[in-house]
Amino acid sequence: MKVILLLCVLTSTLWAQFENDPRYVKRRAERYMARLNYEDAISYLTKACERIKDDGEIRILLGECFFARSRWSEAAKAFEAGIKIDKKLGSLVTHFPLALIRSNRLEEAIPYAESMASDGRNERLKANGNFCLGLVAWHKGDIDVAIKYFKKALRHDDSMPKAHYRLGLALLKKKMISQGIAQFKKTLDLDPLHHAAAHNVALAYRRLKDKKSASIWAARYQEIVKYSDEISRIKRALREKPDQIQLIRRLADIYFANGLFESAIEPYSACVAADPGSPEPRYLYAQSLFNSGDYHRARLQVAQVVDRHPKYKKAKILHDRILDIVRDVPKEKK
Amino acid sequence: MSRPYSLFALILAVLSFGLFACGDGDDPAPRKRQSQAQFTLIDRTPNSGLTFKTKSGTLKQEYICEVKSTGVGLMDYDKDGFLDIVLVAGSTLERARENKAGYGVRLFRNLGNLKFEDVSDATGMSRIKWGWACAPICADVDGDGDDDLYVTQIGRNVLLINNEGVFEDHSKAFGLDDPGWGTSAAFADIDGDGDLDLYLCNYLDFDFAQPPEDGMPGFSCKWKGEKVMCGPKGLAPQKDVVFRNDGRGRFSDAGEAWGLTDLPSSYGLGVIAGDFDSDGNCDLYVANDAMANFLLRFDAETQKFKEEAWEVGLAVSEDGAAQAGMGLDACDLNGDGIEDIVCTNFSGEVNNLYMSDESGFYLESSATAGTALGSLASLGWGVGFIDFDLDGKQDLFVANGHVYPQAAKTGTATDYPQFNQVYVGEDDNRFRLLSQLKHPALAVKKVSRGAAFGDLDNDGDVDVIVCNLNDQPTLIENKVRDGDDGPSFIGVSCQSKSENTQGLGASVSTVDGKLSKTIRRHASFQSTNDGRVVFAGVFSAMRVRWPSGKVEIFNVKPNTYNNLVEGAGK
Repeated sequence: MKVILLLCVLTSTLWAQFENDPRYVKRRAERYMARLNYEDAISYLTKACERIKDDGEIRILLGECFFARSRWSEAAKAFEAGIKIDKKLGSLVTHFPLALIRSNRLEEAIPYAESMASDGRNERLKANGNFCLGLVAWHKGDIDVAIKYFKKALRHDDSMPKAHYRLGLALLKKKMISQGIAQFKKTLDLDPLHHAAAHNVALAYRRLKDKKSASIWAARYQEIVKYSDEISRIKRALREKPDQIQLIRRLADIYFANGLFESAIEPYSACVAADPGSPEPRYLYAQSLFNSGDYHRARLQVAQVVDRHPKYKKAKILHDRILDIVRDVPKEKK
Repeated sequence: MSRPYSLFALILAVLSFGLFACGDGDDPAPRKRQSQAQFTLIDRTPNSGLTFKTKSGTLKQEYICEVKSTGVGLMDYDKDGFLDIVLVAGSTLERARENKAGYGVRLFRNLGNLKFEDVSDATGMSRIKWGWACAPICADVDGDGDDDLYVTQIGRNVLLINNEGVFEDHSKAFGLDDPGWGTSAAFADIDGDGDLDLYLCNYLDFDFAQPPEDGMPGFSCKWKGEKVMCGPKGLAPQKDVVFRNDGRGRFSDAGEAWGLTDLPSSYGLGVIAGDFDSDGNCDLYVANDAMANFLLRFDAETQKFKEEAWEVGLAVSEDGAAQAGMGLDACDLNGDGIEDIVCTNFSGEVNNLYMSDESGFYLESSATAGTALGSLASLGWGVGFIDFDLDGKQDLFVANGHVYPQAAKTGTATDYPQFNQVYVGEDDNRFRLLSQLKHPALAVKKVSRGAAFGDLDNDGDVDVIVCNLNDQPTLIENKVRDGDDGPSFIGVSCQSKSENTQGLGASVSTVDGKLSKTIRRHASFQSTNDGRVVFAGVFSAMRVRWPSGKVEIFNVKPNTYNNLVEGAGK
């Protein structure tokens, strides 16, 4: 009896130690977040913040969870607390100025966005900072200033769909319709399911009285809306019951069909894990990897299809294509 | 022992007051402030006599039928020159199932000084067996010069004709007893023949005997992880109905004749009539819940409507998303001669502000106008462009309140009762959210729905009455003019020679055309406004474009209401 009691005391002491260890807390919270279980992450991190008073990163994580749940003012508060404790996190918290903007705290967002914009650490950070400054100007009605910052953001990182999209909107406001259309099309190149960009292309063509292009883009917009609705429905269903492999496959196929190959990788990988012998999902998995530039993993996957299903021609073609591109692929690790 | 704590609390209170005071957006900012009159919005509900609680369902709000009731109407039923108030209430699922009367409709007579008395018995209102009432739509339906009352309901709508201050039910005789779930409606001279036609928004099919429950096929009744009432998704939307006034007290469904057969069924919640393309014809803009909105343009030559919301940018939000359209109002903000439109939406969505440009397109401009971020956490219903401070720039009032009581829980980024909001109009078509601190009437959270705007005390500034779900209404006095003091105004009422006696749809403007307003009573959400319009400033003449197309100039006097009679101008 005494031993059991001792074990209990020991376990609870150890447990308490874990729960007071910031590294453990962060790992556990990240596990919740990886499963998109933000509500549990929020309640866990909120309690952790009460216990651990001197860790900024935990508060930043809490802020990210609030942000993911569109709880902007709570997110801003958590980010603020985190940065206050750990100043070196400084301009790295890219969602902080966005949370401030969405909480209608425009003036407070400016210095933080400026510090991001002038941070020398990387181009993406600078782009984000300028994007936020553009957004502040946009909400203040200063369209010219907004255009300046969105352009600046894109000079630092041309692969930001949100900056292209916002720049497009701002150009439309300035009646620079063709230039606006070009920005929306760039947005769609980077994010083919960006329904807002497709809608605005259609609208802009209507303003140019180009009925044919307008109707083509209106149809594409409707198609994207349908896909987006289906994606939301599938994601909701998967949150309730994560192992519905047919839904995961459908999600992967939608991403693939719309050129979102990076997004398709994870669901196809789940399909391959669920049915390793089936050639189709593995081939599509390989193709998604290939289209995302991961030739090495793509070859490993497609080689398995070629080995097991020599008559599967599409796989052979892809395999040869990869070999053409990358001659020195390292040997498979067993 | 408690003294240090009290001292600490005092210091804290002083500091927090200081903080709030510093953050108060209402303080005169040095930039862009005009010689703006100080105005205060004061809650005059206590002692006003408006004791009627506009109930709808239970406090749990478990069914969609419970959440959309309670509009408010302004009418001068006794023609004494003071606006009276109509309040409508819903029912309960049990009562509706057993075909029992709902909570009813009440008429409050304006006694002056913002005091009201319930005259429902004397006017015959109490004799009606009301169902689940939604909106009091007041207009001179029979063209005899006084206000009649059309009440939309979940079930058959009721038309009461005003006969010397006593109301009689003529719903069937007029052919306006539509059986759908009527929400907002607008009377307007659609076909330009001089009498009032009617556009009726219908919402959805709801079976009181078998209300949707979570878990039924097709229903996922969850919101932010909380179990909430089901709908509208999953329930069949209803078709809106447009009625043509055939004269001699008879209306008929003109959907087919006017080319609306192909208009899809929709979750219609709001409608405004106006000339949205300046072609002289009456158009309609319809707000739909969770679906694209409609812009119905009427072509007088073909006598057909054409749905063109997608064509001109009025169908969905800037980001291409169909939103939860509820309340509507329109006003020419940018002075291009075409009215701009506001549409209230759900929490997490912005209230749309569609600004017209000279090419006939609308650009969603809530972000650049400064009304987007302030509306994100609110769920908006009643709405109106009002020049509260009489500075010549339109301000914006929004009545807010959530549909889910579960919104009161933490983690929803919103609340169930919410603050009503006023955005003050500034230069360059910008708005600034007014702080609640200086305006007692805005400082209380309620679950608001309909809102009606009118000069209830005839002092020249526009007051507001807001309906609150399962609560008393809020009567808001706008105090910018006090007696003869305060900024000057020109008040205008229109009197048409046609059966559209109040000149609904007439456009009143300054002679230079810089300021203009449409005589429009049916706007906001399920509500009826004052038929008079107020302009800030002093002008010697005003121009009126009558619904008939005739344009006249009238001499006007400042600081009073000028009744402009068609044919009496130059």
